[in-house]
Amino acid sequence: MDYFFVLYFIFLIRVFKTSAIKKDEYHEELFIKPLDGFIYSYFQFTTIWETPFKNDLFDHCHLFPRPMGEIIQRHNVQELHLSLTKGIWRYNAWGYPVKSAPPGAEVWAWFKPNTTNIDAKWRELTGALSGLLCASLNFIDSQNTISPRISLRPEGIEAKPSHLEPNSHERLRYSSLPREIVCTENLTPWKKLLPCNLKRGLSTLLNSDNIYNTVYHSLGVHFRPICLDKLCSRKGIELVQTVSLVYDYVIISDNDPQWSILRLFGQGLGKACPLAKTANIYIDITSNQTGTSFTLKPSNYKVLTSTRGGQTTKLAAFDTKAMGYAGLYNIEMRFSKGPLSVVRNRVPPIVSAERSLTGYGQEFGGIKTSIKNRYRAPIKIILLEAIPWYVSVYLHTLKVFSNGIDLKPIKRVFHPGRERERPHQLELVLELPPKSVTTVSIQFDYTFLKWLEYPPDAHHGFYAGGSSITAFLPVARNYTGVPIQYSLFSSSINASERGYVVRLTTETLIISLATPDFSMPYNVICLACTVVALAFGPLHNITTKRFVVSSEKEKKGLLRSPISYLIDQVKKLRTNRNASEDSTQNLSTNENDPKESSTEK
Amino acid sequence: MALLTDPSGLKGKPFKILVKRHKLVCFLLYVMSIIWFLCLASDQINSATYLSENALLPGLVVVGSDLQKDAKAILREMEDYVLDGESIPEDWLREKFTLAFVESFVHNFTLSGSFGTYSGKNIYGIIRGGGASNEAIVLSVPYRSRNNPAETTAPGLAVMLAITQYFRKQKYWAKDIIMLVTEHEQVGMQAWLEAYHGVSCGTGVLQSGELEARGGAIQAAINLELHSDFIKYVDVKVSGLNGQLPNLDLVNLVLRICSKERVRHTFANKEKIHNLPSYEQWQHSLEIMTSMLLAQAPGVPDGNHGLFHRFGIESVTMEGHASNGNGPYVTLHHVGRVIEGLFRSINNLLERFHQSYFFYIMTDTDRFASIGLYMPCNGMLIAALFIRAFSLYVDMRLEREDASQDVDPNIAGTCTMFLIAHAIGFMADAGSNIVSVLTFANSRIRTMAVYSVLSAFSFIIPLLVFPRFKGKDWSMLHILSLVYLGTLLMCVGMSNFSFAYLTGLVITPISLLLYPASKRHWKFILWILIHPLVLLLIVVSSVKLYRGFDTVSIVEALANSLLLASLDYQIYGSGMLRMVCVAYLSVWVTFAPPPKDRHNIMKKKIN
Repeated sequence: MDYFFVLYFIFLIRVFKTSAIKKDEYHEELFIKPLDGFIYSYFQFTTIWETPFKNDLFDHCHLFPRPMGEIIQRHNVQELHLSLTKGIWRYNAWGYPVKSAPPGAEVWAWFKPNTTNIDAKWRELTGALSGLLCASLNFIDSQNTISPRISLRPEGIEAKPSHLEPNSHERLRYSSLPREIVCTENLTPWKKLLPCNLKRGLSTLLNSDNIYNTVYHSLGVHFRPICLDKLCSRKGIELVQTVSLVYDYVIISDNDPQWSILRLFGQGLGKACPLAKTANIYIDITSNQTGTSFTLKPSNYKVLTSTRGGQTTKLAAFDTKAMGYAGLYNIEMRFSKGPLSVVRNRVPPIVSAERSLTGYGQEFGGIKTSIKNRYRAPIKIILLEAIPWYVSVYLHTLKVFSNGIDLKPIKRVFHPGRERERPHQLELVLELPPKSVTTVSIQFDYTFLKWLEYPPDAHHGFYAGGSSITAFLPVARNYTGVPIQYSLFSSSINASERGYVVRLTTETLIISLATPDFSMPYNVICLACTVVALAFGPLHNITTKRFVVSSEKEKKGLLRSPISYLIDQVKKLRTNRNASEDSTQNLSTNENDPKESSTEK
Repeated sequence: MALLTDPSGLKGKPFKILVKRHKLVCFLLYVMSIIWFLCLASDQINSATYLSENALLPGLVVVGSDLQKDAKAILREMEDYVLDGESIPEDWLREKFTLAFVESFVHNFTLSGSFGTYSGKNIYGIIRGGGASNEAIVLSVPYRSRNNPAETTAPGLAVMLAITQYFRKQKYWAKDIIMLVTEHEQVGMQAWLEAYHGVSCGTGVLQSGELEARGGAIQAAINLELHSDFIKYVDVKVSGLNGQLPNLDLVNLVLRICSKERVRHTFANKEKIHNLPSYEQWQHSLEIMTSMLLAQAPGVPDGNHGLFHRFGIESVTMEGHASNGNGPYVTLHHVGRVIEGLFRSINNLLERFHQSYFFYIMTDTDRFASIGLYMPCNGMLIAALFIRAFSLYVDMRLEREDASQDVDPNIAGTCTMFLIAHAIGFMADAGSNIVSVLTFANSRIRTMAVYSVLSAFSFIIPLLVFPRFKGKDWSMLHILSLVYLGTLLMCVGMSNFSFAYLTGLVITPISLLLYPASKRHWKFILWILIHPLVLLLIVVSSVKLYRGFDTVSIVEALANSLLLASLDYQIYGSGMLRMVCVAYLSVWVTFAPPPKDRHNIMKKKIN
């Protein structure tokens, strides 16, 4: 017995030892980029865990959030992307974000190969995520789920070099809920996934008083299995949690462009999270050379110059682990020559898109997406539209025009929707001509819904999620994304590539379907109509139907037919007996007159 | 239904009385209709307005804007040099928007047709709200330069630019706010709306161009026209294209916030007078009702707001009339606060305006008659027509039975006449297309010529072709025409009550009298009198008489109104001209008086 305990302890020590030497690391990063009149701050919290991605992986977690791990494990998830966003990213004014997200909620996931019953798994997964993040992701069902064939591609180990290769879409589910409202109730559970919670490190800045003061904010959770070296000999998993915020100078500081951590987040920076391997702040100071000059305080930062795709950016990097302040401290930007002039030199991004409804009335309408290419060379894009089933689109009305000339799509995938089952799914691969505006338009009919299908506040209208455009940019102008083979934001410094993939999301649309007036008079009318219909039915029957006396033999039904058959047999017997008693009487007339027999009954 | 299909049903006593006394009944119905209408003006009948939509919460927020200084400065700047230019001051406006940190955009449009080619520009700025840009509110001001003969709108523009600065700094906006400055009055507004919705409403003469940016579905729009910085009162205008009205909630909201901010406000230029004696109150209400009816009937918007209605956007015009120098006045500060209050309220809206009435007649700034109240007026006119048709039909059948002629009514001849009448109607409908193809003289003369020729056609064809038909066909035709006219008034009354009722008041008694019982020549004159063009002539000349000081001749004025109606159809897709041509003109043709011999036969029959 004692030996057994000793063995057991040895086993336990062994287990703790392995968990102690687990090769996982945690990084905190904050990227601040002053935009024209706005300021963009992007938090990225990255957990990388070098381990084979096997089924019992999340039984013992160290830095990786266990609730997340359990969901991934239980639902056979290979790769998961989730974002909750308030507001819309304005590409024309702000360039490209590090990670794009449409207004509302968006989730997409690949399930592991050989997963059975993926649709059920997907429902369960969204239900679990809905509980984890207090978001209404449980409203995701087949009616708003699609499996894009070309628009999305796995970013982890399964990553494919080209978008035109198959993306194992049968394992992919994508859905967006544009009406989802994102607020502090989502932030609280989201921050609990962080190793240091909101207690230490950069995450202390995520103070809901201040971050909901923004014109755009987006929470993101991205999970994928990754390769840790080029040959993929070391494998691991990665969880990236992001927060993107855009502050409006006019609203937060009456257009005073001097900003500081204190002004943006309502408090200073404290000690770094002890669990974090790195905790850096990167501030884009490129505009220091071109516009009015400013100084950053404190001055113990490194200046990094990043040349990427022909664009040079200067970044000031603060290492918060090495700051060495005892209490809270501030990082601020001071202008030496007073506030900025209002002259704005905005360089619009290469590809931008805008989407709108066309037409009026509640009979028919259309959706028009116009995509601008400002570059001097053609650019390839993939357009993804998920159109709700309650507008029935006509594929023959799909028109792609570029500067007024018909443009033939390189590839077109259309998956027609089905009423109350699935949305219409349209994917187009286009080559935008140089310096052009391409419009993609499609016409539809509005349908009538059943009266129970209207949501509360029915006259608000129905939401149609934005389209997503994946573009392959030749240069990295306005581009801040992280290359897919890397994990950290810092890897985007000097990361020149052959092309830069950016995903744009467009406006969500409000569709006004013909809506009954759900008011008291409406209900009275409904009730009155029902009563009239109930009264009308019998009256109509009485006045219009002819009364015909039916024969007993014609009686049908499960019980009636055998019973009438039996009765017939009995009668037959009786008549036979009568016949034998009185052979002189002709029986056939009596027997063959069904009317008489029925009237007897 | 059995009453109508069962032949024995028509021989019951009530029917006999009805048929016998139908002239009296029709007369009484007509008189009742007028009396009912007059009753609507009484406070006992009409009801007080109320806000149906709870989310609007008017006047609940503390308004904080003080625009007097900013607006005055902008106005001074405009009067100094901006208004001198002929076209819209694009650079100046965009600079003002940029200074307020609002993105601004230019919208180009062209109007080209047989009348010439004009181009214009609209400037708009979008204040982005905190949402995802899927809903918007519009504040629009038509731009008028100093040389524009119409009253200036510069103070309104100054208020808009000043309030843009204020609105931009607020963080409570859930919807985008679009500040729109339009050129060329309604043409510019129509072009912008068409571009916003990616449609073309007219015949294609208006090339509405493209918009660079949008703000989602527009929930409501306020069109601001201030004629002075010292305003006597703000008048609220509602009538839209084809007689469409904005939701009553919006109208109430505007009037209510005006009264909360102590801005004198009027409807149809008549202010609410409290504690009037009941007779005077009735007179006052009747005047407001009548002016609303007269404004709505032509189906022409009385401000830029009227073009929004087609797109399901509720909108009104707030027109500030200049103070004459004495008495209290309203400053730009107050107007600014009204605008702020309005936008805060609309910003609260979760659903589109849908709660309150879309069909109403205002009887005072805070009282209205709803569709349920005013529809009986129209209904009684229609009932008179139907009863007359019914009685004639019964008469005809009884007479036929007595004469034991062929019982089955052969309506082929009647149908042919009906078809011919409609062919004439559709021909007249093509009138505006014919005008655009022709090239001689100027467009006014062309329009006048084309419509005169078409009217002559509509007059001659029935007189030439119809005499070929038999007397029986004529009687049936008359009965059908009465039913057709009744149905037409009913349909038109559903969308544009004012037009249906005012035309009904004139056409109904005449059409009731037209059956050829006696006095053939008088009937002929009466028939001519209700020709749409003659009616238009009468309306135009009475307007001229009423105004008095016009220098143009009556024919010129008639040509002008025809040209405008035709342009309304081509540019805005207004349905009035088409409706008059296809429906009213056709029904008029079917009322054609029979030739002498048929007339005598029909006369005999009825006696």
